[in-house]
Amino acid sequence: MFSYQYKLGKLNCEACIKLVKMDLGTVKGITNIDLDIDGALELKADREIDKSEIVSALKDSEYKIL
Amino acid sequence: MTKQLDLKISGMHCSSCEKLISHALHEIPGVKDVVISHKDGTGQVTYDSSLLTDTDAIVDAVRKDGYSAKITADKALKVADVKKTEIESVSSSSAMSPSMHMEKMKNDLDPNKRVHLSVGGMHCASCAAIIERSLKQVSGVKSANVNFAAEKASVVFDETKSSEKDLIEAVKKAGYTADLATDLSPEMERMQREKVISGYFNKFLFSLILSVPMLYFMFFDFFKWVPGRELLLSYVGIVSLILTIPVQFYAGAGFYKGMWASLKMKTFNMDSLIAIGTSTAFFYSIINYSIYAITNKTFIGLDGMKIPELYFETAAFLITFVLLGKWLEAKAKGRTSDAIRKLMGLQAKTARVIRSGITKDIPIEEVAHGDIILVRPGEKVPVDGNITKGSSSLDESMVTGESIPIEKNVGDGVIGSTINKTGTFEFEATRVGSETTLAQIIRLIEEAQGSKAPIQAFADRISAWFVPAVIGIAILTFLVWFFVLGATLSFSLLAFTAVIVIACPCALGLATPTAIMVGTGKGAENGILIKGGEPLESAEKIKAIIFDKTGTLTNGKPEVTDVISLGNFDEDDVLRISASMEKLSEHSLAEAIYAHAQEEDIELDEVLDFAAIPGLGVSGSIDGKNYFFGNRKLISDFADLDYSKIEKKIAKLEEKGKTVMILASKEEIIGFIAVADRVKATSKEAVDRLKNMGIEIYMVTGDNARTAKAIAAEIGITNVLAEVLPEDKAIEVKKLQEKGLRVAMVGDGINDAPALAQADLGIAMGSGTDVAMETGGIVIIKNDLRDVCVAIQLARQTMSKVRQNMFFALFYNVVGIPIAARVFISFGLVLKPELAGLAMAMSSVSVVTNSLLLKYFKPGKLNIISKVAPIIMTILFVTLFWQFAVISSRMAE
Repeated sequence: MFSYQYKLGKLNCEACIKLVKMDLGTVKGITNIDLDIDGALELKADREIDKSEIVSALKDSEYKIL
Repeated sequence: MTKQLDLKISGMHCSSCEKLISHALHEIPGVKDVVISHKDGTGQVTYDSSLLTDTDAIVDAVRKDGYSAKITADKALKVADVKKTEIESVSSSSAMSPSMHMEKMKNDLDPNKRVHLSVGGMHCASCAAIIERSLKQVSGVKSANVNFAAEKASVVFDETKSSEKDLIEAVKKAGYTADLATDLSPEMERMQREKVISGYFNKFLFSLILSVPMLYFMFFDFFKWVPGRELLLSYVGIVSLILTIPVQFYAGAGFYKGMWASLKMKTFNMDSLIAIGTSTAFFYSIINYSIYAITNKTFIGLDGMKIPELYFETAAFLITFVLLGKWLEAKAKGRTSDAIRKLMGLQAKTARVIRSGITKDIPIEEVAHGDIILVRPGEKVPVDGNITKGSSSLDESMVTGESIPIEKNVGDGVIGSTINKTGTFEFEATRVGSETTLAQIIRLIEEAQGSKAPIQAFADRISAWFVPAVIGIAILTFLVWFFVLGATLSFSLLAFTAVIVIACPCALGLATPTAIMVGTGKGAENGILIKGGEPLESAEKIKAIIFDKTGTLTNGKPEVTDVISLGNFDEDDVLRISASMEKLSEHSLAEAIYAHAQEEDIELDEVLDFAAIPGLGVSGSIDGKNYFFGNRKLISDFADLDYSKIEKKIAKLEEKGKTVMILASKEEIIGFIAVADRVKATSKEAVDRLKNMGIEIYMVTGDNARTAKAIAAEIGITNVLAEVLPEDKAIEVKKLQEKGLRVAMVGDGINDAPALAQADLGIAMGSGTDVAMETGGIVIIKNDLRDVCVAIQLARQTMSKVRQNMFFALFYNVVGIPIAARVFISFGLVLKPELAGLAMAMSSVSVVTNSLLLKYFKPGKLNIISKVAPIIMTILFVTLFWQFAVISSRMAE
C-alpha cells in the first residue's frame, strides 16, 4: 500500500471537496482519498503514483497542489 | 417535447456547487441542458418530457448532493428558444462565444446525412418523380429516392447547407405532405395509411352514389320500356349536370391538384391524363348544354327529348372507376409493407432493470449500456446483450428465422425482441436504441425497400416519355378523326378522351417497387436480408458461386486430431512449443492448438521475437532457441530445412482433409500437428441444390491443394481454388468474372469484405447480430448454407414477378390504345372513356395483387399460386377488356 500527502488551496465548501475527490477518483490505483476544507489531502493507493498523475487529474479543477 | 424547469436552489457557496449539481442532473435520462447560478441561487433544466416524466427526480438529485431545491416554473420551450438556450449555456460554461459555438455546431453537422421521410398525397409514380425532382432542387441534396409504393423518401444531403425542415418544405411546396419517418410511430403510420384508404373509399362511394342515377339514364338509350323514361328523358341533361358537378370538382379535385403539382415542375403526370380526360368530357358537355339552353331558352329537353351531345356520365363514371382503382390499390399497397410493420411491432416497450440493487420497470428508451436487465419466462428480451446470470432457451425465430429455440448460458449473447421461453436470467445491455439487431434489420429493410432496382430505371425511362407521348397520340387521334375522316366533334373528342385514359401508365410505376417490397419482406421473415433491388436483380442472374471454406463451408472451429513427434522430442514437447507460439496468433488454427494444449494441461513457455508470417505460419524464440511453426513453405524458406522425409505422412493426413503444420527449429524438424475443421451438416445439401439450379460452384481457401480437394470432395465441389492468400480472394473472383460469369461470393461479411465487394453479389453468412457491419448485397443471419439457395430462389421469383407486372402494366396500354382510338371500329371494337378508366384501374390492381402473391413463397417449395394466378388474371382481364370493347361499341351505335 502506498500513501501520499499533499496540500491544496483552501476549499470553499463540501461541494469543492466532492468535486476534487471525483477528479482524483479517476486515477487508477487510488483506493482512498481524505481531504479536508483546509486542503490537506491524503491518498492511499495500491501502486506507486507519480505526482504528475495527480496534477493531471486536477488540471480542470480550481484547486491545484501547492 | 422540450421543456424548461426553473428551480430555486439554496445551500450553494461557489462554482463547485454549480458543477456538482450540474453533474448530478446530467445523469438523469432526458435532461438535455443545465444552467446553475450559485449567485442567484437558481437553476434551469432543459429536458425532454417524453423521457423524463417525473420532475421530482430533478429535485431529489439536487437534495441528494446536500442542497435544497424547489420548482418555480415548468414550461414548454419553442425550438428557437431551445437552440438559444443550448448556445448560451455552452458558451457560458466553456467560455465559447455564440459565434464560436455556431462554428462548432457547423463542424458537428454531417455532410452526408441520410434521412427518411414519410410522404403522403401521392397518386402515382409520376408524383414520386415530381417529389424526387423537388428534393433534388434543395441546396445540398446529393440523392433522393422516392418509393411510391412504400410512401417513403430516402434523401442524402449536406447538413451544412440545408436541414430536414427544408426537405419537408420542398415536398409541401410540390403539393404533397411529408414528415420525418422517425417522428411517426408504427401506430401513427398505420393511422395515416387507414386515413388515406378510407379517404379514397369515401370519395369513391360519394361518386358512385351520384353516378348511379346516370347509369339508369343510360338505359333510356337502349330500352324504350324502362320505367320513367318518358317522364324523365327531358330532364336527363340538367340532372346529370347537377350530379356531375360535385363528382368532377370535389371527388375529382385530387386529379387537378396532382396536375397542378406537375405543371409547376413543367411536366405532365398521370393525374394530368385523368384531369384532361374528365375535363374534356365535362366541359364539352357544358358548352353543348349552354348552347342548347341559350338557343332554346330552356334548361330541359324540348318535346320530351333528351338534350343531345351531353357526356356528363362519361366524366362521372371515369372519376368513379379511377377512384375505385385507387382505393383497391391503396389497400393492397398497405399490405406490401407488412414485413416492416411486423418487425417494428416486435419491439418491447419496457425493460426490467436492476440499478443499485433495486429492480424497476422503465421505458425501453431509458435503458443504458451496462444496465443489468432481468427477464422472466414468457417475456420479451428488450435489448441486445450478454447473459450475466442464469440460463434459458430463447425463441429467436422472429428475428433470425431460426425456428428451434436456442439454449443460452452465462456469456452468451441475446437479441432484443426475442422471446424468453423457459428460465429466468439477467443480462448486461450492450446495444440499445438504434444499435440493436432489430433496429439494424429494420433500417436495412427500409433502405432496401426505398432503393431502386436497375430494372426500375427502365420503367422510369418509359414513364418519362410515355405521358407526353400519350397526349400526343390522343391529339393525333382527334385530329385524324375530326379533320381527316370527317367524324363529328363528339366522336372525335370521345376517342381523344378514351386514348388519354387507357394509356395512363399508372401500373408501370408500381410494377417493380411492389414486388421488391414484398420480396425483401419475405426474405426478412426467413432471416435473409436483401439490401435492395440491385442485389435482387444480381442474385437472379448468378451463374457461379465461390464459397469461402473456413467458417462458411466448414464450422470454422478446427480441432487438433493428430500430434506427431520426431527425433528426441515427445508429443508434449511438440504441443508445448507450438501452443506457446500460437497463443500469440489470432488465426483459427492457432486457437485450436492453444485450446488443445489447455485441455492437455500443458504449461506454456514464454516466447520472444514472435512474428506472424501471413499465409505461412509463425516464428519465435523460446529459451534462446528459434522455432518455426507453419506450412511447408515456411519450413523450406525460413527454416531452410528439407521436409521430404515426412512428406508421405503429411500427404496421408491431408488426403483426409486435415491441415498439417510442421514444427521445426533451425536444426531439425521436431514434429507436426494435424488440425481438422469439420464440414457443416448443411453444406453438401446446399451445394447439391445450387448445382440443380444450374449454378457452378467453387471453393476458395488458403489451405494447401490436397486438403482443400479432400474437403471439397466431401461436399461435392470439383472447382477448387487452393493456397489463395486472404488478400488474393478478390482477384480469384475477378478472374471468374473475366470469363463472362456473373459471380456471387459467399463468406464472412467482415473478413472477406474485399472479395464480397468485388463479386457481382456478395452474400455475408452467419452475421448473427452485426448485420449493419456486413459487406454484401445479401446478409444471412443464420449460419445455414441452405439459405443461400433460398435467397436465390426468392430473387428469381421476385424478378419474375417484376416482369409479370411490367407485362400487366404495358399490355393494357399497348392493346388498349388502338381500340380506344377507334381504329377497329369497323370490327365492332370501341372503348368508351369510362370503361377505359375501369380497365386502367384494373391494371394497377392486378399489378399490386400479383406482387402480393409472393407472400406464398416457401423455401424449397414451388409457389403454385404465384405461378398460376397471373395466367388466370391475364385470361380474366383480356376477357373483361374484350367485353368492355363490345359493350362500348353497342353503346356507340
